[in-house]
Amino acid sequence: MLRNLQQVELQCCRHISTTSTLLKNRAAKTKSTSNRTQLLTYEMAQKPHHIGVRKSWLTWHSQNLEEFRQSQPLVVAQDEVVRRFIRGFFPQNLVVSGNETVIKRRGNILIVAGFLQYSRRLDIRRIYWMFGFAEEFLSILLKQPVKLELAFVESEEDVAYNYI
Amino acid sequence: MHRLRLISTRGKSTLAEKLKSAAGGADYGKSKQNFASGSITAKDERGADFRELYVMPKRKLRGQTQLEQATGRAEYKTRSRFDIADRLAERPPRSEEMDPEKQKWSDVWPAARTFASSVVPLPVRMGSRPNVEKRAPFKKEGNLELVKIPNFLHLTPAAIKMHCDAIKKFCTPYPPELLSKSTTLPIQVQYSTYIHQGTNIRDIRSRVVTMIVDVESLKLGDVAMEKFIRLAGDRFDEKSRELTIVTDRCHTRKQNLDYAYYLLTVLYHEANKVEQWAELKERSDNLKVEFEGSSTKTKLTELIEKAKTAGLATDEKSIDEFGKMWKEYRNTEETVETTREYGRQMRKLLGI
Repeated sequence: MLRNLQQVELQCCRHISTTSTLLKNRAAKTKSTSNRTQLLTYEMAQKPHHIGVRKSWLTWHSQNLEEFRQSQPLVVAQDEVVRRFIRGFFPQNLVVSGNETVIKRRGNILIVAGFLQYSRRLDIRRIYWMFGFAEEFLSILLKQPVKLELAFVESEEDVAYNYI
Repeated sequence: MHRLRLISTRGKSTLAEKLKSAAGGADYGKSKQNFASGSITAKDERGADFRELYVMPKRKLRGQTQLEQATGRAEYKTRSRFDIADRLAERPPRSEEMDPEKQKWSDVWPAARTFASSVVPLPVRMGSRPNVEKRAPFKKEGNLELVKIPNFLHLTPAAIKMHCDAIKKFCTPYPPELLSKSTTLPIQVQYSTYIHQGTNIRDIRSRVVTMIVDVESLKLGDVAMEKFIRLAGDRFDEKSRELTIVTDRCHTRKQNLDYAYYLLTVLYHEANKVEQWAELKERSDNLKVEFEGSSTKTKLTELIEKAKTAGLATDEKSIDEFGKMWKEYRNTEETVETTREYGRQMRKLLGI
């Protein structure tokens, strides 16, 4: 009882902060380093307003087109599942922390494309097994055939578009 | 028992093992106690445990080995990479090994696939640069833009020709009746098939069937035609003389198509029936206002007679023409043009 009273009192004393926000965070703002060591991929280097002009989308599907069956929330959720799975399943092989995975949908097939690297460890048999596992797992999870068309580059430098 | 033993082989201290020893009341944990008390045998003269003083581990420390290696006192052991076998097995990209002129490209790239820079022997680049003269666009290897875009490398002209040749044996000649454009077939059926990206291939809109019938080819009599039009309602198009039946109430397209044919059959036979009450139809029940038998016609003939006696140059023959115009005038929306035409015809009829 006493505690409740105290809480009420505390709440009464609180005020709403009315400071105006400083909107200085912008998308795709890159900060350069003094010795130009920050790697930028093509995807990072192009600004959001260049999507569809200089760079294309990371997800390809027909669900946002007119007169098509539109279940975009499902697609977005599926994309997130796939991206997170790839990021977590190939931790040693990711380039740019697995942020650039292309997901394409053709018919009922879901195709995962992008780049992986093998500079840390090259174990061909293990990679084949992991590809098979990932395809099988995602197919069962998403109830549709999933194909991994991830290509390998030697190291992250191969996908570098620019250094700033 | 056998099962228990099996488990105990996997790990040294499983629950089963502990349980077993607890049940036996044996000296479980004795070895552990010994281990914890340092050297097992060392006891001093009073019988107490003698514990060694820990100064440093009984192995060479890292710094020590490094020092020895640096001064050359110890042999430096070089190890190859653990994945050396796989790295040696790495081959140059297929695009460099292949002979583009001798090979069959459709065997290399048989189906739709994401762009693979190691396979495609084309010197392509993609991406924008602020100044292309200074620095070329992004290279083929590791280019995500090339991966993103759909490619048609499996649809080369040679591959298409090969496919066409392969399926040619299943083709039948095009029906010759349809070659001449003048023949319009009486029944036209329209439906749509929808293709989606997703797990479900079904689309609720694909069940809808639209049937367009050329009513003239049903060869109905005047009475039957009128009944047909009345029954069809707004499904009948006056201008093109076409009946359009849209069926979507059944679950499948087949059922809807059957239903459309059923509706057409019923409509045809119903239109041809003459009921007893159909005899009671009066002039005012007609679909359209007719000139024949109208009061306008009787009045007009009287007027022409009067005009004739008055000595005006009337044109009696044009009354049929007037009738045609009048029917159209009465049965369509009135416009300035039709009204003007009405006046012109009337003046001509009366010879004014």
